[in-house]
Amino acid sequence: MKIRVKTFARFRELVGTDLEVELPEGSTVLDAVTRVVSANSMAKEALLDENGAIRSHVIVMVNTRRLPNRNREQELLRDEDELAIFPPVAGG
Amino acid sequence: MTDNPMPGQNYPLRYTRQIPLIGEEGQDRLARAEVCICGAGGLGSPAAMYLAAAGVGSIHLVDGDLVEESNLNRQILHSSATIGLSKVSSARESILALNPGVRVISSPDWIVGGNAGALIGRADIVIDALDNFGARYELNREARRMAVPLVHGAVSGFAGQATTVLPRSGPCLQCAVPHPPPEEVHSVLGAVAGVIGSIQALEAIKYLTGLGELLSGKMLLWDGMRCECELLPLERDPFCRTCGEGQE
Repeated sequence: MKIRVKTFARFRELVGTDLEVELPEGSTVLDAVTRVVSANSMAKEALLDENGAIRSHVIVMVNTRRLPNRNREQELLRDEDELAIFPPVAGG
Repeated sequence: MTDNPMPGQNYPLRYTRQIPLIGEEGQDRLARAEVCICGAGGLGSPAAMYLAAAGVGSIHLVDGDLVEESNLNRQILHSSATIGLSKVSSARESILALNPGVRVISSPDWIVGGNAGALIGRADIVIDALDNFGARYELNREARRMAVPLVHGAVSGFAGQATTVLPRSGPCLQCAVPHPPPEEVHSVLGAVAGVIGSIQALEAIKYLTGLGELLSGKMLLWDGMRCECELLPLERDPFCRTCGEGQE
């Protein structure tokens, strides 16, 4: 299946945006994020923690629906889904 | 004197270019208002300057820090001449130089240990111009308890975000950002803080005058590198630690 990945701001600078990612059927949000960062160590560090989980502050949406952190990594993706990844910031 | 004077005719000339937009009633509402600005740094600077310029009657500045030279790329309330002064004193000088009609209340304090409620005091609206989520969550909790709206802003690099939290409806700041981004020394361009701080000032002006539509229930994400925005829909988190079942 093919999904579209949209990123924003710092994540966009790291991995690009409007990416088309080919994944096996039954792939999850975590599978997709892991694939997106696989070729870029800075992106990997920005998006995944040392255990390979999506960093808790990262906002993840599928088809414009925000996923709560609970169980979001195991959310199953379907063909033509849009996964969006946003980085909130903290400075002032 | 005519029976129907031009709108704003009896107001200071400095407001003549905005009274056609907000009306005399809007100008009066601003004059009666008190805005609490927590953080007199990159976001607090443009927010305070534009609120003072617009004629907000009382501005309460909260910041425990001193002015350092490294602040001056973005913190336009301060200047070379005020390095070493408390930020609230430095800010007070700038605000009164811009608009001597504003009452400036200065609190050289950090938001720690449950003092947020006392600092919010009688404010009609609070601007979150802080630089860390520990203090932001404290401010969010107290603003909600006191039923005072909170305008959140944050910046880093070329990007920023803003949302307005209404206490009696919609998601709170902790619903919007349940897990704080990692602590780091944030590099930021002054113009980026200028964009988000100005949005915060405008949200406060709209709330106080009753005009327009607020950034409530949505978060604006702004990417200055590409000059693009996203509006993320926000929902209340039933398990939120501030306003949901997970309350501490």
